Amino acid sequence: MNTIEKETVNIRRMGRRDIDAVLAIDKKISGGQGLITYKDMVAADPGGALDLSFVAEVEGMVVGFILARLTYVSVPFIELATIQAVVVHPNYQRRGIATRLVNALLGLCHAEGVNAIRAVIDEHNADVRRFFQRLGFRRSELVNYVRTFES
Amino acid sequence: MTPIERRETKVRIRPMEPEDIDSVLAIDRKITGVRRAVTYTDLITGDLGGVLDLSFVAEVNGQVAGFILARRVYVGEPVTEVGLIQILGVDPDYWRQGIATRLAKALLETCRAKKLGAVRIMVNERNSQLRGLFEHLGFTRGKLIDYTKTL
Repeated sequence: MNTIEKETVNIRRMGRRDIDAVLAIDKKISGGQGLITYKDMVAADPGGALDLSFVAEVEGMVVGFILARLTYVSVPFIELATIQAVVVHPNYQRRGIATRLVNALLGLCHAEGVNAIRAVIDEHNADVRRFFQRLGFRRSELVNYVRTFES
Repeated sequence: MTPIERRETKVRIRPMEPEDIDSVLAIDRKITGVRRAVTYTDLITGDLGGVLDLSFVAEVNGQVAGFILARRVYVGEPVTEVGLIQILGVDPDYWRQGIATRLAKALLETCRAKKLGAVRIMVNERNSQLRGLFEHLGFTRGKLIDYTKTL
C-alpha cells in the first residue's frame, strides 16, 4: 500500500500556474487566514531564473510544495538556496512528501552546483528543527536581529 | 576637527543604482581577494534586479566605498512587509568611519517611511562587532535560527 502511495506522488518544479493551489494549501494548513500572500508568490516568481520551488502532486492535484530560491548573501558573496516554506496538505501528511520535496531541492542544487541550502526557522519549533536535522541540516551560528517600527 | 570627522563629512549615502553593481562586486573582491562567478547579469536580472529601492551605497569622493543590499519579504500572521538585509559591505580602506552605521540608518529611515513593519538581518552570533553595530541601532535578538546543509 505504501509503495503504491509513494508511486502516485509526483514531484515537479513549481510554475506560475500552481500559485492558486499553493495559496489554497497554505490557507488550509493555517486555519483559513493563510501565511503566504499572492504578493509573496508573485515575488517568488515560480519558474523564474532564481526560483527553486517544487510541488508534489497526487493524481494531478497539488498536495504540497517547497518554496525556495537562489540568493546571494553576505560579503563575501555566498550563493545559496534558501528554503522559505515546506507545506503539505493535512490529508497527505505522514507519507514522506515533505522529505521528498526537500530531497528534490537538494538534487537540483547538487546538479546546479549550489553547495549550501539554508532554512531559517523558529528556534522554538522543535518539530521543524527535527525535520531538518533528520535531512542532514545543521544549526549554524546565524541568528536573526530585528528592529520593529511602531505603527 | 579630527581626521575622522573630516573623512566622515565626505561620505554621501544615496540609493543604489544598477550601474553600481560593478563597484559592489569590486568591494567584495577586495575583501575576499576572490574573483567570483557571480556576473553583472546574474545580479541585475536576478536577486538584485528591480528591488533596489531598499539598497544604498556610500560614496567617498565619488567612489563607492560601501553598500547595503536589502529586499522586501512578507512574513508572519497577519502578513507584514519586512526589509531583509542581505548584504552589508564596506571597503576595508574605509572601515571604522561609521559608514556601515550610516548605510543601516538610511535603510531604517526608508523602511520606516515606506511603512514597513520591521528590518531584519541574520548575524553570526559570534560576531560581537556586527551584533554591537545592530544593537546600537535598536535591533534586538529575534527568535529565528538558521539550519544549513552543505553538499
